[in-house]
Amino acid sequence: MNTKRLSLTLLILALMLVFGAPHGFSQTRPEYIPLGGGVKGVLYRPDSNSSPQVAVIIIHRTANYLQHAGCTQLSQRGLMVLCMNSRFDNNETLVNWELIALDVKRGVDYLKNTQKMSKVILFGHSGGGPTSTYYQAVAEKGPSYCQGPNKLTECDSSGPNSVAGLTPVDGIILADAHPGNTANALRAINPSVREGQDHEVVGVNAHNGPIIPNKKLDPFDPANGYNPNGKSTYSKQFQKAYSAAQSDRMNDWINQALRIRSLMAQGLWRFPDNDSIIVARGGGSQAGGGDGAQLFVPDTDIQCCTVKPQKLLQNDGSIVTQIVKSVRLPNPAVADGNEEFDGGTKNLTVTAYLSAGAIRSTDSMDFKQIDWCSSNNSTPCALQNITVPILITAMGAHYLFVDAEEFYENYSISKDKEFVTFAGLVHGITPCNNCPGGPYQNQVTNYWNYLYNWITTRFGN
Amino acid sequence: MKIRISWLYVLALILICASIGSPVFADPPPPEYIQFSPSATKGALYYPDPALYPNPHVAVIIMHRNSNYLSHLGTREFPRRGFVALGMNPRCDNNEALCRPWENNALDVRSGVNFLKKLPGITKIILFGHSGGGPTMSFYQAVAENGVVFCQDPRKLVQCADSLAGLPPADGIVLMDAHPGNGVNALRSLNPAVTNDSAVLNQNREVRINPNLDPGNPKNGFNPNGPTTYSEAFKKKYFKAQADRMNFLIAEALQRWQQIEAGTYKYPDDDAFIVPYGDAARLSEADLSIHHSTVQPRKLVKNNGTIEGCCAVASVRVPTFDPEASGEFGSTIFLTIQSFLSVRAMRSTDSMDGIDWCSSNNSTPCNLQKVSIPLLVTAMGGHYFIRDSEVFFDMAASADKDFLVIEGASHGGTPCTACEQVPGQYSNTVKNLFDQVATWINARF
Repeated sequence: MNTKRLSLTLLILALMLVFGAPHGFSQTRPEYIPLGGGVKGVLYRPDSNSSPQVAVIIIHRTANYLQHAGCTQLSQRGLMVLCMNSRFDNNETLVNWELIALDVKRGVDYLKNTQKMSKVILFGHSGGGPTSTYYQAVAEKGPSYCQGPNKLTECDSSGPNSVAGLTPVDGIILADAHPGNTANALRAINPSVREGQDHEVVGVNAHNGPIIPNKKLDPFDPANGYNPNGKSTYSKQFQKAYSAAQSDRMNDWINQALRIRSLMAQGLWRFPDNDSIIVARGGGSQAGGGDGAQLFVPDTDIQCCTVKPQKLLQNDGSIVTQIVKSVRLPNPAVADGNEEFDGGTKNLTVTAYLSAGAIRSTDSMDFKQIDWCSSNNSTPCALQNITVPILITAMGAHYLFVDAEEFYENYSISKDKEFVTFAGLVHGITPCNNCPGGPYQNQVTNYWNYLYNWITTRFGN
Repeated sequence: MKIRISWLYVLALILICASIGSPVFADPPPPEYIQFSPSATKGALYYPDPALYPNPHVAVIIMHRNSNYLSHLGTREFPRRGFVALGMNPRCDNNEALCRPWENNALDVRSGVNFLKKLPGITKIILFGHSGGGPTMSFYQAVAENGVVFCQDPRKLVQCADSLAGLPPADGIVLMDAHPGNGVNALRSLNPAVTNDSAVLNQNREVRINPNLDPGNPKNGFNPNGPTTYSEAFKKKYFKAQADRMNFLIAEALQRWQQIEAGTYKYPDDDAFIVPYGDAARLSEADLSIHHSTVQPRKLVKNNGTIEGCCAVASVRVPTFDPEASGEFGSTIFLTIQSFLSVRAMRSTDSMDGIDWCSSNNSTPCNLQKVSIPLLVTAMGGHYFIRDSEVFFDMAASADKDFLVIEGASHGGTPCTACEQVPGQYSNTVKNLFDQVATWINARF
C-alpha cells in the first residue's frame, strides 16, 4: 500500500469512527432517560429524521406510558417523542396532583435544553388530558390559576413545590381525554351505598359486613333497567335521581375529607399529615378507574352522541360532518367488579382524594352543574386558560367524544382549535372489531397520520 | 502532491485520535428501555463500551421489590467493568400495596433472566440483590432450585402459586446490604407502644401509647441529642412487645382473609389494611449498641481498597432515630390484607432473636438455606445490616460463599459522610464495592 492509499484508508476509517458511531438510539431502540425526582422517561428518536426540531411528550397521571403507541407511531413519522411516567407511576394513593406539573416540566426542559428542540407538543391521552392541560394552564397563567378559595387543593407558588416559571409548550393534542380524573370518579361513584355505611369504611371497616345497597339507586338491579346479558335501559327518571345522588355522595365524601384535613391542621386528628380515604363502590384505584358505576357503560344510549354536527374521520380516510353517534358496545360485566375491593373501591389518601379524586357538583351528568374549577384536575377548567393551538381528538367507539365536544365548543379559548372523532376506535386507539359499522382496520394509521400532519403543518418536523 | 498526501495523513490521524478520545467511546452506550409484561414491569438495559468490552458474556440483573432500579448505581458501575446490566422494576413498581402477592415478583425476575439469556453472547446470569432486592433475588433462586414446594410450605403465611414452577436458575447471586426480609424489617420497625390496635383497626380510633414502651421517651433511655442507651430490660421488653403486636396483626389479617374466602366479608377479594405506628420505631437507629458489629472476625474492605480480616467489624453508623416520625401517616402500614401478609408479616416471639424465618417467603435467611449457587454477601459499614448479613451468610447453604463489609458505605453504597471523622475518610466506597464484586464475578464466570 502506497502512502496515498494508506492516508485515504485512514481517513475513511476516521470518518467512519467519528460519524458512524451511534450517538443515541433510534425509535427502534428507545433510550431510558432518568429525569430525576422519581420521573421516568424514554426517548424515541426518529429513524427517518436525523435532526428533528419538533418533539412530543406523552404522559398520563399514573399509567405506564413509556411504551404508549404514540411513542413509536409519531417517531416513525419523523418526530422526536419523549414518553414519560410521573412520580405517581403505578400508584393512585401517592397522587398529590398539583405536583405533577413539576414532572411534566422536567420533560419539557429536557427536550428544550438538552435535546435543543425548537417546538414541544403535549399529547394528552385519557388521564393525560387533565395532566397536559393543567401544565399548560399554569405555564400560561402562573400559579394564580391553580390557587383560590374555590379549589379543593391548591398549588404552591413558592418553596420546593412551587409551580411558578413553567416553560410553556407550543401545542396540545388531546386523545380521548377525559374531563378529569375527578369527574370520572364522580360519574363512577355508586350512589346506592348508604351514607351510614360510608362513614364506617374510613380506615378498616368497623363491622366488615357486606354492603347492602339502596335498591332504588342500585344501577345493577334489573328493576331499575339493568340488563346483565346485554344493553341496559334506564329510565330518564332513574337517570336523573342517580346522577343527583352521585353528586350527593361525592359531596359527602368531600366534606368528610375536608373535615379530616381541617382537624389535622389543628392537631386534632390521629395523624398530623394525611390519612386513608376508602370509598367502597367508588370505582377502582387504578388508571382507568376499574369497574365503576357509570350508567352509560351498560346503557349506551346515555352519553351517546354529539349535540352538533362534528367532524368524523372514517375508515377510508374521508371526513364527514354529522351528528356523531358512538358505536361502542354495552358492558354489563362491571357489576361484579364494582363489588370488589380491587376493581370497585377507591383506596386513597385524603391528599390523593381531594387533589385528583373529587370535584364539586349538583348533578354528575350535567356539564353546567359541575363546578369545573373546584379542582385543578379538570380539563374544562384548564382549557379556558390555554391559548396555544389545540387538536382535540376522540374515539368513536367510546363515550368521551361527548365530553370532547364540550371542550371544543364551550371551554377551549384557543384561536387555533380543531375537533375530530375517529370512527370505530376504542379508548386505547385501536379498532373495535365487534362494533357496528366496521371494519375500522385503517383507523390506527389514519389517526397517527392525521396527528402528524396537524403538527407538521403548524410546527414543521 | 506530497503535501496533499501528508495533509490527508495528518487529518486522518487527528480524526482517529479525536474519535478515540470522544465520549462515544469513553462511555458505555445509552441504556435501552425494555418493556416487559405486565405493563408495570419495566427494564433498562445497559451495555459496556464495545470498544473496551466487545464481547460481554456475563449479565447482572438488578431489581427491588417496589423501588425504581432502572438507573440503580449498579447499572452504571457494572458496565464500566465489562458486564451487561439489566435494571428492572417489578409489577408492584412504586406501589407495595400491589404486591398481591409479593411472591409473583419472581415472575418478573424470570422475565428478566429469560430476556438476558437470549442476548447474543450472554452465558452467565448474576442476580444482584440490594436492600429489598435481597429477599427478591434469594426467593427467586430458592424456588428455581427447589420448585414451588419450597414456597408452598404450609408454614408460610402466603403460599406461592403454581405459576412459579420452572423458573430458570441463575448462576450466581450477590447481595448488597440485603435486609433479612420486609417482614423482619416491619417487625423491628413496629412501634409496640400502641395499646389499642383492635380499636384502631376496627373503629378507626386514635392511637393510645403506653409510655413504658415508647422508644422516644427519655425515661426509657432515649437521648434526643446523641446516641441512646436503652437498658437491657427495656430492650428485652420492647422486642417481645414488637413480636406480640406483629402476631396480633397477623391474626387480624388472617381472620379477615378467612372471611373473604368464606364469602362473608364485605369484599370478595381483599381490603385495605392500615396500621398506624407501623414503621420508624427501630431501636437500632437510636441505640448503636444494637446490631453494632459482626460476632466473628470478618473481611473489611478498607477505604484504600485493602482487605482486613483480623477482627469483628463494627458499624460506623450514626443515630438516625426521629421520635416524631413514628406517629405520622408516612409511618403507617398502608397496605391490603394480601400485601401485608405477603410482604410485611413475619411470625416471631422476639423481634431480634425469636424469629420464625420460614413463616414468610420474603425471608433472605430462609431462602439462602435452599440456594446452592455461588454467593457473595456484602454489607455496608455505615448502616445497620452488618450483623444480619453475617447471620444469613452463616445460614447460607452455598459451598462457594464469601462475605465482605465495605468500610464507611451508606445503605445505598455511597460514602456515609455523616459517619466520617475526617472529610473523605470513606470516599471510595462505590469503587471498592463494585471492584470487589467484579473481581468475585470474574474469578468464577
